[in-house]
Amino acid sequence: MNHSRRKFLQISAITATVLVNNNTLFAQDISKQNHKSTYNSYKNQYNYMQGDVDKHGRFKDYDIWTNDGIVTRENLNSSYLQLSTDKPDFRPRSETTQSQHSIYMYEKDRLLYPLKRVGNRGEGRWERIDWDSATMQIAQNIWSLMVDSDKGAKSILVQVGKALMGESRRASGVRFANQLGAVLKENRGQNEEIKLDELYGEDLIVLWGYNPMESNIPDAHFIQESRYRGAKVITISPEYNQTARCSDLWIPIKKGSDEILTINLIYEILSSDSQKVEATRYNKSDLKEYDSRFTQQLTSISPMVVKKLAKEMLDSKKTKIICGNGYKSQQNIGYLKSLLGIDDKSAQKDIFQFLSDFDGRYRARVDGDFEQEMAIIMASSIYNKKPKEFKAEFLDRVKFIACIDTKMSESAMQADIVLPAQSIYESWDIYKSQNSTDKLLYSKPAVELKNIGASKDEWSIFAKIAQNLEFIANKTENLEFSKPEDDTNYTTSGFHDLSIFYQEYTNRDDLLNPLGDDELAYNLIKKKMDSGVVTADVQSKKVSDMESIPDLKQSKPDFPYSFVFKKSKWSRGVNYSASTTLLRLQRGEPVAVISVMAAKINGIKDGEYIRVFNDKGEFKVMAKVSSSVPFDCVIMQDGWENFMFTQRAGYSEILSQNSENYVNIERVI
Amino acid sequence: MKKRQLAMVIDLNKCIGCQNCTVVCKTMWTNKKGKEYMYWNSVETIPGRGYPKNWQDMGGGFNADGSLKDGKIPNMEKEYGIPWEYNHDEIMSAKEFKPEIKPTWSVNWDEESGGGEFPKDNYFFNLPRICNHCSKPSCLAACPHDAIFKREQDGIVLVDMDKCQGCRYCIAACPYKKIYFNPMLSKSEKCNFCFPLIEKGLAPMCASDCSGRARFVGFLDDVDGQVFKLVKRYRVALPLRADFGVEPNVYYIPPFESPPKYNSKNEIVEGSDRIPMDTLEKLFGQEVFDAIKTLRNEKKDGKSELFNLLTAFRHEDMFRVGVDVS
Repeated sequence: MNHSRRKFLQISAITATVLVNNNTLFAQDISKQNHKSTYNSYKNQYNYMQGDVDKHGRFKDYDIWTNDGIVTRENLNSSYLQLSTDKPDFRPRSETTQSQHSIYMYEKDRLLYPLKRVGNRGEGRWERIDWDSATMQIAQNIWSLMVDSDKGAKSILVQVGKALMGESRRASGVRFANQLGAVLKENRGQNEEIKLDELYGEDLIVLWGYNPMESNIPDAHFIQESRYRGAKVITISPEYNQTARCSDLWIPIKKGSDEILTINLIYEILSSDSQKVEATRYNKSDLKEYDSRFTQQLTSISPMVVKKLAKEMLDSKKTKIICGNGYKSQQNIGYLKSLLGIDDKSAQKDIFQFLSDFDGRYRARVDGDFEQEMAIIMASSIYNKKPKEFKAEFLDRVKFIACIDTKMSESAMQADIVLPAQSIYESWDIYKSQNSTDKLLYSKPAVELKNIGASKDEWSIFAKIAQNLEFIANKTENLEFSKPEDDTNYTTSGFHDLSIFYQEYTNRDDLLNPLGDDELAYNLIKKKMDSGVVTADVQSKKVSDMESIPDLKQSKPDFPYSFVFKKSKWSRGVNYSASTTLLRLQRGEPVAVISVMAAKINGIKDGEYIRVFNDKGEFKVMAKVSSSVPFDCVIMQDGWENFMFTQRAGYSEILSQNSENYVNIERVI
Repeated sequence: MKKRQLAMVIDLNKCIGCQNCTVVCKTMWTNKKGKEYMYWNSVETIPGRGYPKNWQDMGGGFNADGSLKDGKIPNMEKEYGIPWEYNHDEIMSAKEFKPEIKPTWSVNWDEESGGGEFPKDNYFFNLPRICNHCSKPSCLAACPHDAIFKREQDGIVLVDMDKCQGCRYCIAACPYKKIYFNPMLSKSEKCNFCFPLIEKGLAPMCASDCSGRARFVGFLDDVDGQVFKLVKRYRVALPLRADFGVEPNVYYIPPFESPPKYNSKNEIVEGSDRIPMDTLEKLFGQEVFDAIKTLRNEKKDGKSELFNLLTAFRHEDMFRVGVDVS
């Protein structure tokens, strides 16, 4: 076969040469050709995918194509006004994980029906139950705790994840927590107010522990376009990532030494005679031990580089310094910015608060140390990136856990009742764009979209729990207990009236009625935003004092490699960590990235399996050998769930309560 | 009908390796049985082995004398990697979630691994690839059944599904290995440049949805278009592996600004480039030296038309698909 093919190719080569030379390689008039099958198959495929245009749904900047009630794909269709003709516009605003949701939403890990645990927690034995039964059990647990004067609302946790939800869906859980006076925990991104389009026009952009080329993909183009305009981009990060690659200078800082470099820079800036430096209460002699000659060992950065960085900052007319999650302390960097006269704005208010509050009548507990016995976890990966002790303690203490999620996540796996939620293409929601347009976006399910299992949107789910709670409270034998007392910090009347709980929860006829017309709600909110009623208080921060100066003496860790999390561009938290489409764009399973030198020293080859271990525990993972990471780091993306690792033991095994974790590695034979 | 050629220019400085192009192509065209391993669009990391693995060493294309160069059909397991499936339905039973076969290779295996020594001169960049819709397509020349044709009106190369007999000579002959065998249909399939969209005057999805705004699409004879200007006027957009002899129609703006290297004292080596020129020369030929020189000179200018063009202030300016210059 191989021989004949070669022979054929030799013969056909002569033919091809003749054809090419005669310029007859092009097909003749296409209309005379019979390529119907090709045309029809691809056009039919396109038309099938597109389905009925009149029935399309919407999700932010995407049209959601459906055919016969099934989502076929998401098709980008964004419209943004160009804010200025000399600034690039915002389109296309596409994102990798988003572009495959249409496939993943039908994956077999979707939760289809309410489930009740019948085995031990985490054992994976479930019984299918109906919505009434599931929500009644949750309501009963809430009731029991609320009417127990020793426990009350403070013993109930409502954990609201950011997940992929917008402001409306998120508000359903927050409102429920407010009304109960429960303990509310929310996972909200730290960098939500970073607007990358505002970088366009700056002369110097310093990206510190921030990797927008992987964590803010839709707006990352503004950085390269800023460079095309003449801006200098400097990235400070331990590893050479996509953002470092797209920079004019990359400063490979030793993991965890950002604050040392910050003070080092402050020292250099104070040492200059630049007029730019604003009056300060410190002078260079206060910080002399932070001379870069003394700090190089801690930061790995040579004095020459620090001086250059300081000079760039002093010489630049317009500078922006953006610190990402990789930079822990904000105080000293704020002081550095103030020193340079860099305007550091921050939005102070949750502009969608009005969706979930009760005009101050009820308020959830957001601060303080409370011991909860019950938890409602809504789209939150509560155990991810936490030490295993956290999970053990939580499961030991919290006697009843209800989890609302779209798929069988690690959080759902440990729950007592699991409630299936709709995914982002299946219900209404409201979002604000993370750029200067402050555009209000929405999601809207397609017309006649077939429901996946018995899943529901979160407003309906909480309304159903509220309805059952109200039902319990109105039972004759319960009526006298239906107004449990609480601190007036959390309810202005001094009690939560459970007998009208459903009525109060759903009474949002002015803005958002979970059982009503969401399009009307969207339009009302948009009107409020357009008229300026709902705006964030943008404040300029001036930091006049430094935080306590870090000790330069570093204790030597017991293990040689710093274990570092990298924000996953593939899973957005844990949300898409089980997507086949996206896993095939990685290595199909969790990987730990190690340096070429660490691989050599430990006799590890790319693709082999390693033990990552310390005195707390260990886990097994595939090694990826890379020239882009420092010798002393083991880097993992942060979206992996425990059940994706061998024996369901993931990186929780080696994490400690401290923020810094050190490990060793060893090849698994 | 006048013969015309659509082309794509990809700015490698703006490509951030997000693979959104790969995913939108996958959801539109290859999300079906038999096509799991097909990536009509892929984004590789350079240095890296690519997809299929080591495709640059698999032959195909034309010899200098115009004869077809012998080529290899990639091995499914070793060079594409069998597309693994998962036990999603077992997650709720507390089973380990894992691929059914051990992953050995895939489309983005070498992501960000790079080359060089950290932190002195390590480097990487991304290389998006689609079918090049070549002006001298060796796949077409190798097909014994006349099943591959090139459209006159836009130069898009397509497989005639009626005529294709699944002999796979086209796969051996394509030097870019961007034509795939569909085992379910026993036919070859490849990027169709989203021709149903082109016929509506719209750009291919990999270009219109490119998050980094890195891809321009237009006709090579449209003198007012960005593609013409980048390829013909400024000559900063270069074909990939022109030495394969197939006259590809996807062009690349080479990466021309990488962070400087460090010396052994961790001091900046001023004026140095992390990306070795021989790497770029291998991919884009000797012309890359002039292209980079032009890019750097124009950027110094500050008000360069070239950089306004590469910035693309309005997204729609990146695509001139429906222009008729006849």
